[in-house]
Amino acid sequence: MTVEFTTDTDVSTPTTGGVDWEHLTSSRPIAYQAAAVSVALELRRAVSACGASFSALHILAEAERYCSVAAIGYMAVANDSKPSASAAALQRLRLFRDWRDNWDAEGAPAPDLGALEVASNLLGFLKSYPVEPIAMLHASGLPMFVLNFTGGEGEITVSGDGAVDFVLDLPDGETQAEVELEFDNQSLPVQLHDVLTRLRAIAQHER
Amino acid sequence: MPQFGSWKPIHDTHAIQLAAITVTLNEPVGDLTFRKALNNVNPIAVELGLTEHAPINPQLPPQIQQFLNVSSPMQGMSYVRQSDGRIGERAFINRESLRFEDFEYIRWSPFKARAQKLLGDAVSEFTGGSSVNNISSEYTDVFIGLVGDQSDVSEVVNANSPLIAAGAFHSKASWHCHMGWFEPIDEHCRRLVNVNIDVADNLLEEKINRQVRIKTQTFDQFGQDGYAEYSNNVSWERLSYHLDSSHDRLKSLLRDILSPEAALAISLP
Amino acid sequence: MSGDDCRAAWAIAAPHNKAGALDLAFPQCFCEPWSLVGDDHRGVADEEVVARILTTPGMYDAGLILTQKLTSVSAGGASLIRAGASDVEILGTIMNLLQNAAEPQTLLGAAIFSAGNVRSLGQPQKNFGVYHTPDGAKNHHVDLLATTLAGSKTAQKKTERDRRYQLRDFMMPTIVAANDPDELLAALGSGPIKGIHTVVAI
Repeated sequence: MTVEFTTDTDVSTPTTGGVDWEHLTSSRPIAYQAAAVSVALELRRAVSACGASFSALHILAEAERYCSVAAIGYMAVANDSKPSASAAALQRLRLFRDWRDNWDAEGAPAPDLGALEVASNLLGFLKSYPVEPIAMLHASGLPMFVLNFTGGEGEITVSGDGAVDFVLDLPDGETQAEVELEFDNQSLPVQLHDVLTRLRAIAQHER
Repeated sequence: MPQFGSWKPIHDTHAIQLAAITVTLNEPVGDLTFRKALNNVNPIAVELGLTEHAPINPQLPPQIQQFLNVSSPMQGMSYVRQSDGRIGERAFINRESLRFEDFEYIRWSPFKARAQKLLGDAVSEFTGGSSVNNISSEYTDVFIGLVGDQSDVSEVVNANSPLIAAGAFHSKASWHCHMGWFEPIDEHCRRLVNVNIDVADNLLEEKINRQVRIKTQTFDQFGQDGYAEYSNNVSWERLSYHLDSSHDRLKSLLRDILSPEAALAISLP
Repeated sequence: MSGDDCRAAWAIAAPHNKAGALDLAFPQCFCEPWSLVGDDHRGVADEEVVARILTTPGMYDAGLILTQKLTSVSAGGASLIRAGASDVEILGTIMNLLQNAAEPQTLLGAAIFSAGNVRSLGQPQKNFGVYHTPDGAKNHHVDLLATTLAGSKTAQKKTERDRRYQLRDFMMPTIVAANDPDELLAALGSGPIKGIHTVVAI
């Protein structure tokens, strides 16, 4: 037994496909994708109950693959239009790796490769928060993120030994700063996490 | 932009459209365990920015529903972080699987750390009531042709790669290739490796957008087909070992598929 | 303590920590009256006009001078050029910025202001010092350096950031736009940069 269906990730278009999916009337595309996976799991049970011998994982993989193949077209083309802030920041960090001494024509030292590595990892944790990180370089060659967000701005500087400094001007008028925070590549330093969490709460309150 | 020939990866620094980790159990967990896990995951998801929560309660078409338990309880929960109107990250907690997806992959280290933060405790909770069937890691890499239907696929993939069926490959037409095989890992575990390559021509605004999609996936399967049973309560540390090992394997698979120019464009060593 | 002591401190300071090292050795901009390199004793007088050549996107983007680029005031110094420079020296400075940066740059113009005005930022504190630091053929090279505050590292971090914003806000209204080096040269030439200045003997 194989269920063939397609779905797309357009947030306004309901699911279409080769099976009557009228019952899936949610307007949330994620429910379709989630439902597709869940359907596959149910199908596995149904197949087993019928005494058939399809591989459960094959059904699951097929279900997901059919979802993805149709979705890929939209998502790939949509991605073509504008990279996310974090993708653009990662691209800048990658670019900085090739820069040498005097990259600014004013005698700045070459970017610190260890710090760039740390900054790239740190970037992966910033996406939990409503900030747009812009990757830049400090005159000392250390990577910096300028954080753009509604009602404020901030900076995070990373040093090669994994230490992080930040200064954030919050929308409520308060400025928070900390220096030499340890970043272990597993989670943001607590102080930075706390202030960004506060920023997210402010942003959600104002929405 | 790291264009190479008549192609580019979907991002400037890599081609990863989706990275995902899935932990699948042998049996669905009971209600109590399931709800305990959700109570644990819900606030963590919010903390990570996955603030859109939706229950998974599919209603199935009648021709399928007849085989199934009609009054199934809530099957799972989905969690989404939106980013500029697109899905940034997504997670599913179902009664017999847990899955974390990242559509804005940056680096392995933060991706794995976020997956661990979100799923780690739930995995421990689930494996108290069931056992792990497999842990899966997957990447979907996408390359976009820049000259429509003249985009030559041989610029992206190595036509002579052992991971591409020679009879399927075509440089300027759609095709699909699926491969799978098993690799032993240890006395408890074997690894199912899947490689799916899709070359599709999507029509958008009357223009052909040729895309190459490469999905590489591993399933580290425990206690099956002669492999020794693994104890219950598999810790995240144990699974973490498999994730790191799979990560390296998936990179080597992609390296074996791509052309040198494509690999260079995405800084794949 | 004399100009020689100041020059010695400048010479031994690490290239990317000139500001901190000089301020540690001689706080409150003590060394401003002297040239910090060579035998020329001319410090930069308050009434002298200095200019910071600006390029985009490296120093200026989205309508603003980039405060991240001004981090140099706390590191190796933000380069300025003082009045009296020849066309050759000015053009050389411009072309260096346009041709030697890691990313392609376009000339935006220059921020032109008096040394005294930037020195007065933060009064009665001295937030910035303006020092004559000739560099090879660039006889009229000047460095703008931030002073270091006392206090906790966190407080210093906030203040350092605030001062960069202060400097940006000070410089923005002083920008003279120019699309190419000759146009900027003409703008500088018709203004005070190439004018006569007073030599102050110490």
